[in-house]
Amino acid sequence: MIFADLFFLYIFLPAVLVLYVIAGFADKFIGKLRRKNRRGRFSANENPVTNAVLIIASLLFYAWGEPIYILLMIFSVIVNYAAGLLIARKEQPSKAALAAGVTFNIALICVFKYSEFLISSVNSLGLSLPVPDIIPPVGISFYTFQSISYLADVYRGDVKAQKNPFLILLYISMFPQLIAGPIVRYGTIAEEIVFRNLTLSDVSEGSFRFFVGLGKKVILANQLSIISEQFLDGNLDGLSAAGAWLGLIAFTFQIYFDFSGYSDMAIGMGRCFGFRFDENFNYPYISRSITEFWRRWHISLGSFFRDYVYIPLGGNRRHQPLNLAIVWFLTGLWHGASWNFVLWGLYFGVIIILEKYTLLKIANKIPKILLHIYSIILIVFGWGIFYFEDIGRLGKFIRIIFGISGNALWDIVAQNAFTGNLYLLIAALVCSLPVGKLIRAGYENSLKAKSGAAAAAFTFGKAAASVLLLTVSTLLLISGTNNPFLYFRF
Amino acid sequence: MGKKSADPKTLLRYQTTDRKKKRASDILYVTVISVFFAVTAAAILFLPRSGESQLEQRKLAKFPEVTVESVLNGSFMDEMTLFFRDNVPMRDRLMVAAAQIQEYTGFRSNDIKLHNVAIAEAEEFYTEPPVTGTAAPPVSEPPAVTVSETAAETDISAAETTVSPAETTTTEETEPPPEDDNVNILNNGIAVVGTRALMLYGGNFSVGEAYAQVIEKYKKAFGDKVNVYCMVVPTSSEFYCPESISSYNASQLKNIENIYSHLSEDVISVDAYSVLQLHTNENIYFRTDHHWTSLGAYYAARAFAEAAEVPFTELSTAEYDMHTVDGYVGTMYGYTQDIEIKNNPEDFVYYVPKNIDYEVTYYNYILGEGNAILGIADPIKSDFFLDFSNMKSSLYCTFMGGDAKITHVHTSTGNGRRLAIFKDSYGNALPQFLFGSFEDIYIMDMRYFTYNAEDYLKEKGITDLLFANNTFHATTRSTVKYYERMLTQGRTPAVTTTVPTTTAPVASQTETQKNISEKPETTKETKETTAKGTAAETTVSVTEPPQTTTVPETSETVTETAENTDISEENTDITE
Repeated sequence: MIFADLFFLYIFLPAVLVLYVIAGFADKFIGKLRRKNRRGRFSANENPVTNAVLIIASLLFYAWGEPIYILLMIFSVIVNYAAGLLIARKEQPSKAALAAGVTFNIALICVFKYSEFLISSVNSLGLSLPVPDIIPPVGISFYTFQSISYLADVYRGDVKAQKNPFLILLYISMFPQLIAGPIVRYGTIAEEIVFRNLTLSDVSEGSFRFFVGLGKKVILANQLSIISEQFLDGNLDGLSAAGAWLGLIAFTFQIYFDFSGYSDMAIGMGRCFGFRFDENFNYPYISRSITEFWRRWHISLGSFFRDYVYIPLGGNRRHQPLNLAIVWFLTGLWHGASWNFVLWGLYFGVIIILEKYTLLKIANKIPKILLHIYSIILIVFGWGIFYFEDIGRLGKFIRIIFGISGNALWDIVAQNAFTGNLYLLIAALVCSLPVGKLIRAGYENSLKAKSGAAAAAFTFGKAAASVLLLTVSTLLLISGTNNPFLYFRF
Repeated sequence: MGKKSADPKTLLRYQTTDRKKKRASDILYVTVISVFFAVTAAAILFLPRSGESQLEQRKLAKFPEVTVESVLNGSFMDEMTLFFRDNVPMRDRLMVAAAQIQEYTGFRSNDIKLHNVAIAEAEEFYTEPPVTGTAAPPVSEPPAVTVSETAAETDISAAETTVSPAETTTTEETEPPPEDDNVNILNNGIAVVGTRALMLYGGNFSVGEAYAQVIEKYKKAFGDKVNVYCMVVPTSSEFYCPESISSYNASQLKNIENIYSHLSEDVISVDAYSVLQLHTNENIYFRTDHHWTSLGAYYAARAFAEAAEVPFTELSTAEYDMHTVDGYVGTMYGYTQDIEIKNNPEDFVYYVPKNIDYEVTYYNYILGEGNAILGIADPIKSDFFLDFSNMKSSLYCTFMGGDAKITHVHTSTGNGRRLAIFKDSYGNALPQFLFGSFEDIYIMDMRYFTYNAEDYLKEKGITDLLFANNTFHATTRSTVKYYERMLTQGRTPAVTTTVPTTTAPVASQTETQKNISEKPETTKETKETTAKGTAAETTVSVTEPPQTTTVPETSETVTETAENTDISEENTDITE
């Protein structure tokens, strides 16, 4: 199931919300009884009923798209639960158990996501092994990484091993973050899993966040995908340079709003259920260097590789360039089982290594605007590498955008698509700047101010914006224009 | 337990925040949004579902069947998701609202909006997979717009068809349904210029040559006994395409000339192009549909009648009743979802000949999944013009109700000329002007014809055979394949078996015979206007289908039925 769909929006989500509220009362009641008997002490799980509702909802959510693979996920949860307990069984955490657990997770993702890619890559060296035809389970890239982070954190003593297997199942399968991230660390929600303090403010913030995310995905990303598909998916022989740039710029915005919209919806829903996930995006397109871009883009992935790969390898203390190369190779590969993603990761790896020794040292002497231009050009070009899985097409596309392909530089199709989507592109540009942040700051200031008028105006605006976002998104979902799901290969 | 868990009593209880304003703001916001969300959800869940979309001319997704298998492989969930997305209450109206929103994404420069305009790779698209075991050729780029041209009409015609389940004939498995029946018309996309939608033409000389050659085969098969005519009809993009997008729109004139240049002198080519070109300031093409209008067909029919040297009934109030239905928004809206098309409906006009008696028999094809031909229904007597005034997006089906059928028109002309028309949907508008020119007219769509063409036409004593295709079809490889197969395929749609009730389309209005004598009475509400349809701005309510009319069994009917029985008996013999 995906979030940006009528079935999810109007059947699954309302049903879960209603059950969740009822379960909340049940938990409260059970808690009272318990504390009476145990003289006010807490139990290890203060929300058994809401957790049960969430687990069942999450399994149903997953089964909706992948009825068979749900067994794989449950199997993975059992193994990781056991591994967690084994790691923390003695005073000294068990390295062997950690190694076994991590190996299991890596094997899982290799078999189900990369086996086809690995074997056909090996075959291209001259072998002819049978290539398996496995459709990767949705979300496998996210839940295996979450499992690894859990085991590593237990090993390091950052978190306690969870003794209740259902709570590990909840952590891994929780539907807001199950299929498209963010990669939530166990430590982030370890407390909330057993004890949540849900306030009206959480519901208000969370639901607004959800609508913003929905709008990003349906109103911006889906509409932009019409442009990117028109110019990037078609026959490259007839593609003009202007069309290629338009398609690429549209894709640059599309992938940001698609991915960050999903993260917003995940964070928003999590908040409504009483969980606070970490932020995953922080206006990446305003970066002044590629190094900064990767601190703002898909933050949970970057910090995963930093904490569980880069630093254990030695970080900046020994053979830093090698460590960076490994990290960026893996970052690329994580995005999809295809060489272009590896190329894309290494492309950023090389730029970041170069920046370390050059740009970052003199950055404060260069006009900011130049740094912005430098960064955005490299980012946009990177999305070109990301988009074309076929290296031949990628080469051709690069020749087209640089005007050396022999194709026309400009044509009426590109012009018509540009004017026909000009307002959309402007909206996309504005929304990728920290405008929301400014409005939010105004809202919070208005709450502190003495006059209630500003607060009322902001509240009204917030409600009106939500209604508008939901209405327009619903209409666009009904009209069914382009609703791609970009995460199947992640 | 943790920092946040200071007071367990606040569990799931709305906490009083320090800032009351924040709390008031939250209460207000959560209330508003909950109510709105609940109302929207209730509306989507509980209002009656649309079932079908007139604008898109298709049935909407149905609630899926629950089986263990469909749940385990996930198809049940997929279809359920699709059902909720597709079959929403008030779908057509909401779609228009969505199209209006999408219009705000930008502006139209020079009043032009291009929909998937690009040069399609014609040849590759129709290349058949190699027979040898070598690897498949690299996947060619998809064409600019895949437009299933016939789906809509055949759907409608299936709904309109009346079938008595017990008596239908059906094909056996031996007759494979046309493999690419739902023909994707190859095109370079659609340009909306002002309020007119133009499907841009790709053209293909080599297919055009093959088209000419297959018509030559028909001429050879019939020799001197049958006059064979070829009339390739240009479409609107030839005459209304602005210069700025002409590089995406190939010349239909050149393609037509190419086809005609490959015809021998034995085949009579009909120049519809020149006559249409003379009248481009009249409404000869629909703006919102890919077809031509009755008026366009009229000029072409006149050119054909001239070439065939048959009498022709000129357009005049004395000869025709003109019927106008307003509010027509045709296929182009479904293809483009372009709000300019939706917001600018046009009139649908047709002309019913007054002074000629005629009788129409339909042999409807029963269609299954993907327009596969399941069989042919028993003949139905009905009018040539069917009332689609309640289905405004399907008004072109006024002519015979669509494509998936063989239509026989018997007229009172009695001049010994019997015409067969092999056509695509453009041909549907032609016959209304030819009732006074031929005593029998057989109208057959090349996509739905299961008999052997040579046997069938000889059997019917055809004297004139007209190939009437638009330029798109005449240069599409599948058209050539259809015509070739029609010459070689078996004599028959095989054995008579019973079609299960479920496959029989629902009965509706048309199971009535046209009663010629009652004609003036049924059309009394219609205002008649003078010859050139352009002068007419009047909106007239169209003739009610003569449902209550009692049907006198004419001798012709009997003959007709007998003839049909003959064929099926013959067929049975052959297959046995």
